[in-house]
Amino acid sequence: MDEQTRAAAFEERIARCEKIEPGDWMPSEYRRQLLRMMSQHAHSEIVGMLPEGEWITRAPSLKRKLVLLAKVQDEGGHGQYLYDAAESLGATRDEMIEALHTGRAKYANVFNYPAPTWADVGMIGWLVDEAAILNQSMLAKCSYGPYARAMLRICSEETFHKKQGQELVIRLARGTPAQRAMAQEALNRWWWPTLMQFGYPDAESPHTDTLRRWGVKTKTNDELRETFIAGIVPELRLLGLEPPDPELRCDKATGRWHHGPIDFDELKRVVNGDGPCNKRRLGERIKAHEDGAWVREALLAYNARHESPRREFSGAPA
Amino acid sequence: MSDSQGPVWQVFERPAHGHPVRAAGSVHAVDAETALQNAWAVYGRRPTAVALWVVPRSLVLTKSRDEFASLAPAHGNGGGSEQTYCVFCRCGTKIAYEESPSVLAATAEQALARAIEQQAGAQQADDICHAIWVFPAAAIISSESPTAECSFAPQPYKWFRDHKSFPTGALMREIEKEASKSEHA
Repeated sequence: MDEQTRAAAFEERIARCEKIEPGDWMPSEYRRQLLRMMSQHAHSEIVGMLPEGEWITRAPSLKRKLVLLAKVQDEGGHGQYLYDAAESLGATRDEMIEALHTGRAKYANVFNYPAPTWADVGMIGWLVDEAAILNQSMLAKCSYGPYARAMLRICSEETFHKKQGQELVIRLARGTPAQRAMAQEALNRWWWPTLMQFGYPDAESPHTDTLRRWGVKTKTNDELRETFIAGIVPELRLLGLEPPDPELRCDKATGRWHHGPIDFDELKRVVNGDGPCNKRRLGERIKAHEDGAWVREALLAYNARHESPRREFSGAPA
Repeated sequence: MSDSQGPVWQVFERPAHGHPVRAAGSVHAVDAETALQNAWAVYGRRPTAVALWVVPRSLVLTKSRDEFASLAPAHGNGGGSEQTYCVFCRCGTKIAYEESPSVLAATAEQALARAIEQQAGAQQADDICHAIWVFPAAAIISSESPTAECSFAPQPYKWFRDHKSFPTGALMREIEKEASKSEHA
């Protein structure tokens, strides 16, 4: 079969909503885009552990500490699911880690902002995870099998995180005036970065059309952004919290939401390395990797002392 | 070693007693013991799996439907002694690779060809096999609980992993009711 026939057959499979598996023929651009998306997504999960991880030792109660520990561990697991999906297209773990550490690979803009108060932990869980759920439930239906499978696992766990975050914010919003003020300030900090998380507006999003045709994305950035606003603003307002956007309103006639201009230059700066915490986050990530080197070495040394690396595991000490 | 994270191990899970095993994902580890421990930490965090298997990725032969046609037929016995191969297929509209009846074969290629023959019976579009994995049953390392004391060992009940511990829907409805009451007042 020549390239054109294969491409036509591929598009037909997509039209039939079939999932593409790693060994199947796929256009090189499809492969390239998926690798870019999956590795960025994996990196985002791993870097996403950092802003909230800082709060584990400072959580206000044992209950909150357990919740946060479990959440941060989940994010690490999500990174693993996604690296696995990216590896199915031939990327190696070392290549991906190196791309992240040298700044070649990107990750979600939101994790380059600081989380200075406990309310930020709740706001990240509610806003950022809700935004992630909208994007990920779309990707759970995507045409590439390994990515869709990873997303299905992630979505069910992410729903949790959103509930945990929202519950935290509800408690603060119904708490003392100082707690309410803390929640509002956290909302002021996270509102715009979360809206930016959906990506550039459709008119400036060069990949959207192709990705839609190939069934990778089924909704545009702007569509997802509006769904997010429509879902979350009424709930925030019910709690007496107000997003920092004087233009934000729902058009009664159409039911559609209007928001003020988003600073996409800021998004560009933050994604390209010049956000408030980029250096700190990447520095911490690299340090964690380097600090873990002795564990990898110890495992290798232990392994080398046993003849067969695949010896039967008995499950109990001999 | 080319990969500082160690070789890849494919992870399989049994989601509940009496359910078929399905592919879960993978982990990196230098040996089987660590692989199984990592698998429980990553794929058994929520107590959703009742058993996990790990299989060295290098022993799993994977083929997608586009590749089926170019495979050698299953004739002969391959000249060697036969062993049991596990077969995992992704069929129809199902998204997961699920366990299919195992086959006896001398080589992985032969096992794959036999698995394809076995699947060829399914003519319904809903059952068409899109991709197959085979690996020797002898390569499975499995356990029905975390293999070592680990900080994240699944427990029968973890309240903080239970949706019901965070009743946001009920809370919001309650707040809404209060708000409308005070509006009327």
